[in-house]
Amino acid sequence: MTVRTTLAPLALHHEANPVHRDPSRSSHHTQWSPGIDESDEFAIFSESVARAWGAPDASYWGIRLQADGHLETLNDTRLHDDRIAKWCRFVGNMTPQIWHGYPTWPDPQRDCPPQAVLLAWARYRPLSVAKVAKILRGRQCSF
Amino acid sequence: MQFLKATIPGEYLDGFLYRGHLYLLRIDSSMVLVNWDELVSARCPGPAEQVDPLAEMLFIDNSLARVDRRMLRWSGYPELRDFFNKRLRAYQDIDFSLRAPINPVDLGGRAVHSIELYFSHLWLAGEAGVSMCQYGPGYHRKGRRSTITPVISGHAFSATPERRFLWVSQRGMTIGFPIEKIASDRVNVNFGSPWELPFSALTVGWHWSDPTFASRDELRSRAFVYADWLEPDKPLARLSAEDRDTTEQRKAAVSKSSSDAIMIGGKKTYLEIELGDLARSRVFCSRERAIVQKSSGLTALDWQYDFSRSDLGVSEDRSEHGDAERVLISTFGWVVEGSLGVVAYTRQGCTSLAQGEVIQVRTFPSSIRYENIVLIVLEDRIEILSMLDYDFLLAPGDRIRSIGRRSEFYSRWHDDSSEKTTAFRKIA
Repeated sequence: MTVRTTLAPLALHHEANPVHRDPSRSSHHTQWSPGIDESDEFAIFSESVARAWGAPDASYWGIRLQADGHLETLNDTRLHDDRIAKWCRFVGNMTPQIWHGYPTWPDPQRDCPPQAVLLAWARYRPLSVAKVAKILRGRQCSF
Repeated sequence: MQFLKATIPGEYLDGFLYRGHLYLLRIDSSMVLVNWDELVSARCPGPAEQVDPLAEMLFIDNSLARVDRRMLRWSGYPELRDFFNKRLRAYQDIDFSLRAPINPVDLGGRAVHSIELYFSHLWLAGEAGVSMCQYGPGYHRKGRRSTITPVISGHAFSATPERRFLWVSQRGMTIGFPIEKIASDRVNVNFGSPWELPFSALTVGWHWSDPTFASRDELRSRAFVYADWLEPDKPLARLSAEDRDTTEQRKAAVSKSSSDAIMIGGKKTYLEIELGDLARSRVFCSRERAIVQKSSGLTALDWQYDFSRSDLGVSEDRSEHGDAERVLISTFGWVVEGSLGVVAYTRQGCTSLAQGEVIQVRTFPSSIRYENIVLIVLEDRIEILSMLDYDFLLAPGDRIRSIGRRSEFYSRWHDDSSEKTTAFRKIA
């Protein structure tokens, strides 16, 4: 599937990567929640591109909201020691560039979403500006 | 312990009090500079169109601490204590809304999450790294006096400037830039060759003049000692017997596995020391005190010059702060930032300063003017708390031993007959 960015004439091609939908590979690849199928993943990707939550030369970052306005948990927490992924990262590091996403959580050892993106999400519980500040300062943050 | 609270509504990421000015980092990474002295004067007017003298002593220069010993004699009269307590109640919770025009500071569009002020320089930490410029009320002009200069690129968790180093904490490492030249009236800072520690430091504390690092990722610490005995122009024979003993103790404490030394200017050398069981904990320290965080909880130590320790005996109350995430040591005690809130441990026990997770907590233990201040950034406001750690506010029978306030240190200059304090004591 392809999404067109507002940065015309750029078009980004997306394909879900099966390693993030295979519980046997959870030790090396974070696993999407069963409630997020491939079309959901693409919808999240489309929105993150449309809202410029990232950049085509780096990564895009996405969220999905529940009906109550809270951030939905995107990963299968049972496979990841109960760590909760409230956002996902989309990378396009192959040639030709094909984007795929995976859920991820705050971790000082890993890349985090850009500051402006995190602050845009801070209005949605359980994220808050206090949690965003912890993430940006490399502190432990849990949901 | 009592405290007074000044509240500034608004959405901020950080704030810093420095030499009469309040630096505020807004949530959109813009910054404003507020004349703090003028703001206090406007919100706390006193007689003759001047700032209220009590507000000045509590929020502007902490001068109330320096009259503590003399006031003790006066405050033997209950009428005087009643007067002060009545005046203090008037300042229990003050609205410090920013109504007057405030000075915007151009950060050049950088995404910044933390600010520091040191030596009239503004240090910015953010996702693009650390930058700095000379700024503020140092010397004679109060504007920015240099362009913003990058120091290091890559996401910086924190930047900690001090006299000897700028410490930058990043993912998996901490980089120390030796500061070879810095001055309030000069626009350039000269750095020496950077020194890299292979772990990310949550905090950098100073045990006397020696850096001590608490690890971000686990309960571990490392400490270094200034090894001036390695310098050829400092032979031990010139030292006093006391200093010679201390040097010998420090030599004995140097880690046998210490192969990497921090070098400044090719001559000043720091060597890693053995921390023993403290290595398996987070050590948050100031010159003469330390808080040790282990999985079992926090322990407060009177941290002596020769690395000996004695328990200060103030017990932790986890129900108030939850899991401790960071500890800040101040002259009135220590402040614990935890998952449930911010708590101050003082000689009068445990006092809750804020409920829930906060965006930032700052104390200013090395600032004479603001050593009694705790600055807390919350979701919709900043609270600036003035801690009232003064004996003269208490009836003589209620006064208890200090945990080592700067005011006592000053008092000893006025009254040599005062009893010895637990802090500022050098082991012979």
